[in-house]
Amino acid sequence: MKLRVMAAQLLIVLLLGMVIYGYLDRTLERYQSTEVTEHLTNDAGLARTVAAREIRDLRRDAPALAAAIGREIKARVTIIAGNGEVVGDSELTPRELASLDNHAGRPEVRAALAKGRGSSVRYSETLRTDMLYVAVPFRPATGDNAVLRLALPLSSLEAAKRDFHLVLGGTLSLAALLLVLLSLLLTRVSARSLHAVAAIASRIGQGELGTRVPVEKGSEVGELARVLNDMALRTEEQLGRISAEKNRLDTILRGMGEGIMVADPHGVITLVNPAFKGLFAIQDEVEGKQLIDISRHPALHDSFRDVIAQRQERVEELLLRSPKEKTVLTHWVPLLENGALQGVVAVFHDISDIRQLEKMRRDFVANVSHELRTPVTVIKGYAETLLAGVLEDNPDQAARFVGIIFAHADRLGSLIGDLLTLSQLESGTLVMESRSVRLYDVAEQVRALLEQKALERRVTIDVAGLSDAPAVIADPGRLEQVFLNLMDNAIKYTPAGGSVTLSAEAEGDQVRIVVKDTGTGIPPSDLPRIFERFYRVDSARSREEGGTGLGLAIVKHVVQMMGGSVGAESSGKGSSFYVTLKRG
Amino acid sequence: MKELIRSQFDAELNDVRARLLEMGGKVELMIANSMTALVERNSALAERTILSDLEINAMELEIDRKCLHILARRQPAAKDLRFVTLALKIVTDLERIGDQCASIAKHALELNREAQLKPYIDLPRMAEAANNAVRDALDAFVRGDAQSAARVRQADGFVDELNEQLQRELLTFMMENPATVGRAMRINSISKYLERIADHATNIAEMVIFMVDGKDIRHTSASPG
Repeated sequence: MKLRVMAAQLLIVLLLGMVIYGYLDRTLERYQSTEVTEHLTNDAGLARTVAAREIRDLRRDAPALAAAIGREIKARVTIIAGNGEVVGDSELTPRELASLDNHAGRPEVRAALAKGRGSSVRYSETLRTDMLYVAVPFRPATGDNAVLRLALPLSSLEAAKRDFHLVLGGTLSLAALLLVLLSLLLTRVSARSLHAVAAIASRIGQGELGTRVPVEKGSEVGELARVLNDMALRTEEQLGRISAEKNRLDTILRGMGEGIMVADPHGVITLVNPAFKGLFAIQDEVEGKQLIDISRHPALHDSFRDVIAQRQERVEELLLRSPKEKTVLTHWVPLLENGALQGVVAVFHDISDIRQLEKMRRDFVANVSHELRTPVTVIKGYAETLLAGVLEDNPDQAARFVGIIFAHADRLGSLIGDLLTLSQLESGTLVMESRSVRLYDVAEQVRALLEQKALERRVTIDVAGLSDAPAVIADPGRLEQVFLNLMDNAIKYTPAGGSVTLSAEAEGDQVRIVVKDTGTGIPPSDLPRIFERFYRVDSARSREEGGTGLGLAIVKHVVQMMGGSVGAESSGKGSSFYVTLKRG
Repeated sequence: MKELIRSQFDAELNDVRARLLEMGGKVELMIANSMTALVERNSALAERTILSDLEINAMELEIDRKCLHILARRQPAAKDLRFVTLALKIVTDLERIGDQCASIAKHALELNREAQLKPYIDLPRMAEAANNAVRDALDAFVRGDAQSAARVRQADGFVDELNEQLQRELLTFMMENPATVGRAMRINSISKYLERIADHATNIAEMVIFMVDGKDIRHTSASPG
């Protein structure tokens, strides 16, 4: 580009130079020869007058005169007789004259005789150079017409022309050289600022959007820089908006509890969120992998294929087995853009907990019905037998039957009582007192209640550990219920000779009460579930003992309502139940 | 042009791989379902499991055909050749596992018609171990991970032990009461099938090691030394 501009400029200068050179050369040459010819003609006129007066005899006076004039006007002077014979010449001796040829045929001589004046430019054999000849006729005092000819060698003219050419050519070459240098300098300057702009533009292109081009006012590059800066600013703003949007979406996706997966129509995963990875227990990068590499669950692939083929949403429950058994509700949506399938979005919602709760509720209803039906069936059976005649026929047996009916009615009553308590606890309608309670007083009361039972089973109850325990904030009546349930359980599951020990210790602003027995213990697999309603480690034994299966559930609810927590630990040598309450 | 052929070739290999893994997924589900059918006495699930063996058989034929097609048309070399031959073998193992699951489900159907002989404790543990072995073997195949493939061989030993233990236990049942022989034999068969499933998983794992390292470790000891 730079070179092309320079070549064009040079060409124009050279062309112009040539034209000027040619023109000047022509005019100057013409002007010069006219000037010289005129000058010579004037001289010739003067010389003619002198010659006409001075020459008496042509042959005698002519040589001397020619020499004299020639000296004065610094030109060759030739005097030619009318017949063409050269009679005098300023540059030749008279002897040499004789050897000259007749000059009558010379064009200037002929013109002078015919028209009174003649001139010509010729190569002179005599002087071996280009000569300008000017001839005029004159009439000497005696004799015929003669011709006076002045001749000037053109060599002086040539020299002048050479000088002129030299000067003109030199000037023009200098002008061309200067021009080349100047244009080189100018292009170099503008190229440098263009280079700077290009470098910054490329930095902007590489992502350094904050870069700006310094604007030079008034230059074309300055305008370019301004436009470039505008563009960079707009791109930066746009990019900022886009990345903010993307960050927002990323945050939403990251924060979602549901797993999200986006795949293209070939099953290559393009996007997932952390919840998805957690659900399928994936640590590595997922994007770019095939769905089949993530999970081989057949239902997953059937759903995917179905959504791709039908292009319709699909909701399905998926049972995952590894790493943990989970029920996952999957919602598949085809990604359509102008009717073309771009891929599939799947949302995975872990509903294991919901399913578990539903199952618990179902189980609860089933359990309640079952628990209620058993005593009712027994009562009904014995009552029927009594009605059938036993009452009259066998009063002793009747009395035993009534005893059984009473026992079951009692069990039914306590079951209904427990259920009511539970439902009150759950609905939150139960009003709880909260005041400072001495643990020892409550424990001692319960111990007295259970004393008889403990004696029968030969289990010792030790509440001495609570004698100087700190007070707690609780509802005394409810706390009694908690102790009753825990201590009753402990007695039930402790074999003869065992003991139930209560203790308490302060833990910050909490008090931890422990009910420890030396019983059979609870299998570790059952431990997390013993506080569930109707959950029994050994259901046959529990019923035999007259338990409703709700005792621990009530304990948990009551303690939680008093702001505390419950738990249990067990080894082969017994179990410890602990209750944590606020210190009073 | 050459690149185009190569990418078509890659797509074909990838297709075989995807179908193989899908088949593996179905087989894994079959193992779990056949055991659930037995433990939960769910005869409908047993019937479904028996039916899904047909799908597995169809997939075996399809993958076999695809592999042969690749061998005939592409004449693969080195790693690709190892992959295709491996796929042909894995597919056979998976199909066998499918058959065994179907057999377990058939026995479960029969057992569900009678009273339960004993609580199923060892069988689900064996099934879980066998299923884990299959899953680990396929995961090793997915990741080209020879190390986890080596672990599968060790898990096989655990299943073998459980199988022997169960057989001894069943023997005492049968000696005590001849009426239990029929059920005990069925349980014995199921235990054997599970043991064989674990063996197939080991085969797959060994072939994965061959594919990754190019080292054939079949018929060598699982634990070094």
